[in-house]
Amino acid sequence: MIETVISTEGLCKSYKGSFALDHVNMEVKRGDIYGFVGENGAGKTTLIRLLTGLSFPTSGEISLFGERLNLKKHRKRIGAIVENPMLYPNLTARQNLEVERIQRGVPGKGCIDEVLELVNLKETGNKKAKHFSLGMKQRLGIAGALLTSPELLILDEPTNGLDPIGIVELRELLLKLSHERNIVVLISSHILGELYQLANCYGFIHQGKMLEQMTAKELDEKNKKHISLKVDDTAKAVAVIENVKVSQYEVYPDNEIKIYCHFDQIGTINRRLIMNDVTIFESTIRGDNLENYYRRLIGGQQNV
Amino acid sequence: MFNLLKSELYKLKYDKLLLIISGMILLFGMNNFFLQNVTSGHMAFVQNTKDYVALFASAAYAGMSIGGDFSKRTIHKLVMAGHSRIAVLISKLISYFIGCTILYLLSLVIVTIPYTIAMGWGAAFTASEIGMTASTIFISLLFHLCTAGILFFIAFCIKETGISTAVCLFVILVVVLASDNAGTTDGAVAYAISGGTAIAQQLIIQTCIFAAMKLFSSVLGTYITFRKAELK
Repeated sequence: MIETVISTEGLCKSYKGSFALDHVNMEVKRGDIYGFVGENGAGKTTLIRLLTGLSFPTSGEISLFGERLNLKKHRKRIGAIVENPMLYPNLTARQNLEVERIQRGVPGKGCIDEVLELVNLKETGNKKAKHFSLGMKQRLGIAGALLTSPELLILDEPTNGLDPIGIVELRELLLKLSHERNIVVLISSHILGELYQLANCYGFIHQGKMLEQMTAKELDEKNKKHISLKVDDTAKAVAVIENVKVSQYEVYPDNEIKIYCHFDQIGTINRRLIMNDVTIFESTIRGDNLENYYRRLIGGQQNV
Repeated sequence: MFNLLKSELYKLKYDKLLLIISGMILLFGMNNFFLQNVTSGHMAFVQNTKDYVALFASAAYAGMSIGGDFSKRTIHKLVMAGHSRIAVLISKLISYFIGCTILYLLSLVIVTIPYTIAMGWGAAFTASEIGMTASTIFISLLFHLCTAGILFFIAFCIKETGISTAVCLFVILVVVLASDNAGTTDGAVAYAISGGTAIAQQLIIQTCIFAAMKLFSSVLGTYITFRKAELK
């Protein structure tokens, strides 16, 4: 059985009576790169703050690595960046990591060079953090999060301030960490195109509510271009569409049929169905990218 | 907890903040050196145990160090790393007190040593004199740390560098303006406890109880504030 690394049940967080998180149920399993999708103020950072212990839930439960109690102990197994990296500006990159290494109780200084190399900051290790660009700070923050060889990496908007090359490098790094070290990654990002190339699991949050959770495969399935037909009698409808030489289709329990070919013949298919006394409730061509899917999910053109 | 303390000491060693505030003490100390009407190192030492310079320095240090930890959100990292909040608080308190001790001793040394070199100690430097000096330093330092605890509490409540530094300095300024310009009672009482002068027993007891209350209430207040604080 695959271990559940993060699980929340009915998690709520309210500020002065208004819910920042409203009964959120979430599950992240070992092997996941979990993309957390939501617009500004949707509750992504609030949830991450609850997971990392910076805030306390109003109600609900959090489990880390399968345990609800003694979360502090399990937080030692997590590397995290919440919003911006937290650095000591007057210390050099190496000293920043040394502070992190000491407070985390990591033995040996060798790990510092290792993580600096991993994030391409080895040459600038002796430069003070206050002289770093935002992208370099992000990378130093990631280096700090990786110092303890965490089992779970929580990254809140890690691509902020990174240049295109930096974004690609980060993606490759996270994929490498996930595949080679089996690190579970929970990542929130506004760049949904980027998230799509990285995550194998998604959670869609909107106005504090978890709208949907799905694997990348399920998302692809939902987003694959198809004709969506909602009819009263699927058996009869299937017989009709097979007569039109349609072979790539799937039937779903809610009387939906998805046809993955013959997009130019949607009119013909509809006409044939009607002629054979099949009532059509809906007939449309669907298929989206992650961004459009999220927009559709929240029911409007929001700022994502 | 031990790792936290070690990392705090590492920061103390490499961060320039303590050095900058020490430089400020040096400037104030030089100012005092020319203004004080003293004739010996001993007199300079006694006067400086009552001086407010170290309290101002501790106020600036509390605001910039503790407030800075919140502003730069570096304190968040410790909580996120799975350390208990009480462990974070205690390690911060200990490192803050170490910083305050350095500043306090520096403020004493900066005036006393030049006077002693220039004018001599002014009293026979016997074992009892050394003992009395050491005990005065120790007791006045304890009193100083008890007062500094209030500044620690203020900085933890405000959680912002600029405002907490300003408020801490303001609090000390109010204390100075409210006092009779003769310097802190703590210093005088410490000197009296060490056998320097005779002073009313009641004043000594009052001062000791007040100091203990200051420290206890500050630490308790800080713990209550920080225990369930939302770290933003």
